[in-house]
Amino acid sequence: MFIALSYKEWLKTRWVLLAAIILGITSILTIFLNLGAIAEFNDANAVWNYIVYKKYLFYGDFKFVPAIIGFIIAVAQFYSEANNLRLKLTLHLPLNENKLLFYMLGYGTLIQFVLHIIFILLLSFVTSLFFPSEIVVSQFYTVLPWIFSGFVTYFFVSAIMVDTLWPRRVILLLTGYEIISFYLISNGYNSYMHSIQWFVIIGVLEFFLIFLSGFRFKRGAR
Amino acid sequence: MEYVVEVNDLTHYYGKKRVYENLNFKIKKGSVFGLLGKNGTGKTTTINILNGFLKPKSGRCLIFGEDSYKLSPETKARVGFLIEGHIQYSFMNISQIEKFYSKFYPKWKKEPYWELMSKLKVLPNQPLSKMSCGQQSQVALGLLLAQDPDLLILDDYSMGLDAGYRRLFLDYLAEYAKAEEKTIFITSHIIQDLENFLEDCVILDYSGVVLTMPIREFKKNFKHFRFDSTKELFLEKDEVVSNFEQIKDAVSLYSFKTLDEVTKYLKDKNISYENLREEPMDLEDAFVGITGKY
Repeated sequence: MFIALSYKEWLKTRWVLLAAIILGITSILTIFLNLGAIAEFNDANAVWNYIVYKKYLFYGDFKFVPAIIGFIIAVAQFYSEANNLRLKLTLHLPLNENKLLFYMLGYGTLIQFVLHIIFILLLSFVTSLFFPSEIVVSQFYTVLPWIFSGFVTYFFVSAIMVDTLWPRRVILLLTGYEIISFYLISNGYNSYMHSIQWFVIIGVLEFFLIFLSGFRFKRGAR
Repeated sequence: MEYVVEVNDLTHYYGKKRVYENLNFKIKKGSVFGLLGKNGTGKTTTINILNGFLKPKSGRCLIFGEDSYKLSPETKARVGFLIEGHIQYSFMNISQIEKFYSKFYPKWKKEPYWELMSKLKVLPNQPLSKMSCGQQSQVALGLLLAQDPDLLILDDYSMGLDAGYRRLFLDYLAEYAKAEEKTIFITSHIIQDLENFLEDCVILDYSGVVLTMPIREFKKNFKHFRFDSTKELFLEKDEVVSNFEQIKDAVSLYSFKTLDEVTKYLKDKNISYENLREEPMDLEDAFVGITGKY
């Protein structure tokens, strides 16, 4: 049954996944080309001055990519379910309703997890071509909250799609906007290094938002 | 007697708007049961409660003995559900959707599905999103038949279908119902199609349940009497008058009583009338007769 559910989610998301891969790779390629150009036309001291003293975030192009990916995957998975209350078909399948939602959300989360591991590896590789390992490690801690913003965006947009009440949707939208902004607010290196665990905890808690929306859907809140 | 569905004292409100109070009916195993009513009388509400997509304000609804709001996966596998408008996963094609559903139902029989698809003359990779409403209804029906459920719940199967597809749908359902111990619960706003299909029915009105009885008994005992009267009449509904309508001099009186009993009733009430006669009715006439035209 879980293979069949994966099959359904795959049919909904396959083109969006392709778009997500293209988006991620394009942004990393842009970073690579920019770095190449900077290295080509500037000496090492100037580059170092830019990066270390002027805190030029050379991988800033990647900042909103995880959030965009989270958004489009959530829409691809849950818009078609919410449209015409098609979620009734899914919840009528012979499985526990919460398990069904858990599995659907788990699929999207896992897909993003795999994509972001690939993107982080690629980004680290690109950076390591130009900079020492300290910069690569610093980049990892800087990018991590952005990656979490992708998961949080995904959880909020999914819950908004499944919820059937507009006031609840608006509350979720506003709360989601504030929380996601919190993940993306800083432009400095390692800004969130000592608070990463809180980002993880907040992100994990938001995984469960969809169950509240699903509960309201099942109760018939319209 | 074994009941597949038991609805006991079901009451539901949307905000302060009452849908119905104390709705009661039972569906026998192996029967074809219709829930009839005008738009807005609570048919889809009842279907939603039966399928566990709405928690009623009070009362109980049991399917195979389980609370319909908390159906176990095993019981859900025994219930086939057609959503109003034949909604299905439109992002799939007809082959993908059969493959998907087949993994969930232990009694899955793909033959009836592909038999219906072959009649539609569509390719296996035909996307559902590019099919007509009638074709999509056949996909939804084929999937239900392949699931081979013990109880089939159909919410307005006729929505958006022309006469041909409606007939086709019911013909297949009739064949399905013939199979041993299969139960069908159906709602529709096109009453005449169901005339020779239903066995039992509940008729809902804005005031609640108007009638619960076998269709054959309803058609046999419910009568339409016409007479002429030059006076404007005001008849209350009572044990003789189920419904009453007057357009100029022409009066229609609907009743479960015989012609003699109605004649006596009119005389007792000192109502002047001429040319009192019984008019033949089909199921739709009877439905309009008992629920009224407004």
